[in-house]
Amino acid sequence: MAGKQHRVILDDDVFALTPKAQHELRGSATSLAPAALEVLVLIDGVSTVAETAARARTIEKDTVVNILGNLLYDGLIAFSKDQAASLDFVDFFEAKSPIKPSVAATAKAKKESAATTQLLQQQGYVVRIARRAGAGKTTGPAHTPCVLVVEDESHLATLLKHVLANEGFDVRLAKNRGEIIAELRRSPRPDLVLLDVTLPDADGFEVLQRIRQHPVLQGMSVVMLTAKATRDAVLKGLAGGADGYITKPFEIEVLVKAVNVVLGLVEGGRMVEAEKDPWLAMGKPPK
Amino acid sequence: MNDELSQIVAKLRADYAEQLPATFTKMENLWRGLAAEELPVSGVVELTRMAHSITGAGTTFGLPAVSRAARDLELFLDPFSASGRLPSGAERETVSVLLVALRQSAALP
Repeated sequence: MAGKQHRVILDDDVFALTPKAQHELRGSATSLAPAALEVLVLIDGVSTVAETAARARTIEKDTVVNILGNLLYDGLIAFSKDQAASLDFVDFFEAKSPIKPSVAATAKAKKESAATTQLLQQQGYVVRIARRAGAGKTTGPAHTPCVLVVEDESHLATLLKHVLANEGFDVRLAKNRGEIIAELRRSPRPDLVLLDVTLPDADGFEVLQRIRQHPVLQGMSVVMLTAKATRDAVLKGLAGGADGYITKPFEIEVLVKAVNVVLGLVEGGRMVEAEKDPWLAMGKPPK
Repeated sequence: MNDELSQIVAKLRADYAEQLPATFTKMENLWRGLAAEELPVSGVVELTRMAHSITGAGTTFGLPAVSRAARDLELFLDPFSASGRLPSGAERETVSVLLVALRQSAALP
């Protein structure tokens, strides 16, 4: 990213003091205005902008945000370490290198997706598979699992939100690039992304690739939920690192099962034991 | 599925079916503009996307015939969408027929 430029400050942003600011605060004299100084001393590398603004009792939130923008511009504060990793979101959809699954990944997907191929042959354009969660890839019991539903059809998005909320998930929605980035940046990050392919201003396969290349997000579970049901599309998703592929139209029970399987959960919060075959085909073939 | 969720799903199905005629009208207007070459060719991508969206949602909301008709339209438009070319001649006639079939499919079981 370019050096000095004003950036939009978001409520969830977290800032830390730079050495320059620490020097400024330690010095006996400062050129900073009192309000800027008041905000600067509140920066702790942990609190979000919203929390910092709430603690700055004598300054309005809008002013705090403006001051933070100026402090950032002047190099007195910087995004915290976690936040710095998130800065890649600025270029999330604008990577210069071509985004294509490697030959090896495609070959692996072809080999691993025997179940998919079989389903395609048996059922036509219907695919419902999910990769069982492996060791260390579970949400654990500590928090409510969060699912980000990326879907531009509003009725489907609402349906998915209610269905998953009913199953005990924390559900968030996004329908375009801007909302995808905002939700991926938001804390806590989603445990799983339910990803449509055809969006008004984005391609779900591209989003999948960006997630797999992102230093913070690469381990995030992704299940493709799409009407793109050709063999090539399925292979593209699996080669791109999708943990599941469900074609629309879908059955609610199948979708819920896929989310639970990928997250290593079953109803009641018990963990699903990993089996030899990582892929699970779900549901009955349609008549 | 519990009662509350069942009610929500039933309402979403009804809402979806209710808004479909307006969506069909949008698609038809878009196609008219494209066929008359009054709109940029990129409109084919949008028309394909709209068909794709119905393909995915129709059956989920209890309208399998609508999904099937939308898929027929989507599959026909896909090559034009990918190549950035407008259907011509008989191809245009086919798009019009598929759009009529799509609207009629909403009345089918």
